[in-house]
Amino acid sequence: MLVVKNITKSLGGRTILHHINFCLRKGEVIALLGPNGAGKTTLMRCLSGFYTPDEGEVVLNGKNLEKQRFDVLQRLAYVPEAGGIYPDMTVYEYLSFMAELKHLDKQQFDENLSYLLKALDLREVINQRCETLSKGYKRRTALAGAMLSRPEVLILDEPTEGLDPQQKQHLRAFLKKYGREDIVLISTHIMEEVDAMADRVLLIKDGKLVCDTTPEDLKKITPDKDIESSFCTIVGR
Amino acid sequence: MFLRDVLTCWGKEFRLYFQSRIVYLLLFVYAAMAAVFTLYASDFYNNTAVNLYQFFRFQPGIAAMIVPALTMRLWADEYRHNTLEVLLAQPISYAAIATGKFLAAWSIAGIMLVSSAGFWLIVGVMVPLDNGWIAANYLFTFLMAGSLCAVSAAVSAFCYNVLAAFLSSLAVCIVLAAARFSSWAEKFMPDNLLIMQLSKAFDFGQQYNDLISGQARFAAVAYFVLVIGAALWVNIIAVEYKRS
Repeated sequence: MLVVKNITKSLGGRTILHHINFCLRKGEVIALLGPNGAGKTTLMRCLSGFYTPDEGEVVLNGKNLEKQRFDVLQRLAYVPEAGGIYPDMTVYEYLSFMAELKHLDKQQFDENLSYLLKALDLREVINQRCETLSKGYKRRTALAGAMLSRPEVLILDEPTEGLDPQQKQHLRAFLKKYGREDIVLISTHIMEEVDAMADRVLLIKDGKLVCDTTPEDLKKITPDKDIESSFCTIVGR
Repeated sequence: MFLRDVLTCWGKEFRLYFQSRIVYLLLFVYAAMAAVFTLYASDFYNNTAVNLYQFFRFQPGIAAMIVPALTMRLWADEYRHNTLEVLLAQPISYAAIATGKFLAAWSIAGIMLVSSAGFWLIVGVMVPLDNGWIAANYLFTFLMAGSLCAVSAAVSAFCYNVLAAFLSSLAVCIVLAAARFSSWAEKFMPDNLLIMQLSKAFDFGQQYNDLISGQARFAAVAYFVLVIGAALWVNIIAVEYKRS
């Protein structure tokens, strides 16, 4: 269980997150929604340990991210919007580097690698340099790097951005399956993604958590029974 | 665990030097600069020192120009490719990352230095040399290059792009290696004993010169080790600063 307690974060003299509180349970795919500049990426960076919150704490299974940083980060993985892969490395080199950072042994690495290469369809590009990959392959390589350690919490910033419809569908199904046993938190602008994947929706506006509900309940907010309309109603557009 | 993480980061950076091919260009530039300075800028042909002093005396200046090119991409590329977010979200310490990156740059500097050993062999065939002294000078030069690598890596950690990292590191390294603080203090403040002693203690060129001219002192070795330690600490602070 990932507990976010009263997180506040300021950057450049501006408060980006105001006292955010929520709790994520295993077996949930959670969509983090919000207009541009609402604080979604900042929140994800706080959860991934990249940013230290000014106030509040992040606790995973009773372990505090600040105090037991290595223990928590061992069980958590984050893929930023821009992917974050090394262009000069081959896909295999990148994945083995990520495995070393997560302190996986050879057997764990080999097992998880063969599963992920198959599940994310990366086998044919395994020896290709990352800079030569298409956007879809880059996204999937970054995702494979994050998932090598079978993290309990997977945090993904716009995971399907730049993918073609078939790849989107495939990735959504894959993440949905992963979310049955673990926690998957995704930030997205695509409402059909929320509909297709999410068990729960967190909506942020101006750095405040304004809605924590299920997609079905979110739809009921407007007569159209449509997530997009409900989203626009809540954010005031 | 710390050493394993350092090794992981070192391995990644070391491989990237060869994959980006920058190392081959720098090896050529280093060899050319070392040859030109040693053979033409000093009285090498008429008066070859048994300790190859003419070769070693120019090493801080050459290193000050080469090392920034080695370290410029260590952090700037992490910002450019958005990999810093991923790297800092891993269960490893910032100290391990900074140390691994520094050691990779230092290893390349070591390879460059080793590549010049052919010169030592060729001269050794023609003139009698004190090989023990030269071997010690190679070690001292390696230590000096390490301190410049650490300083340059620390400066580049404050920069977001490769060019800014290169130029700012170049400026700092040149000032550090070329500025003779003790000479200035002697000239402008000869009566101030404290300033005189401090300027001597912090004079990079003077410390190196003491080592290669046979006045190997523990203080001079400690000076370079301390510079490496301090620069690594600044490097970690820079990453913390960038993160926040």
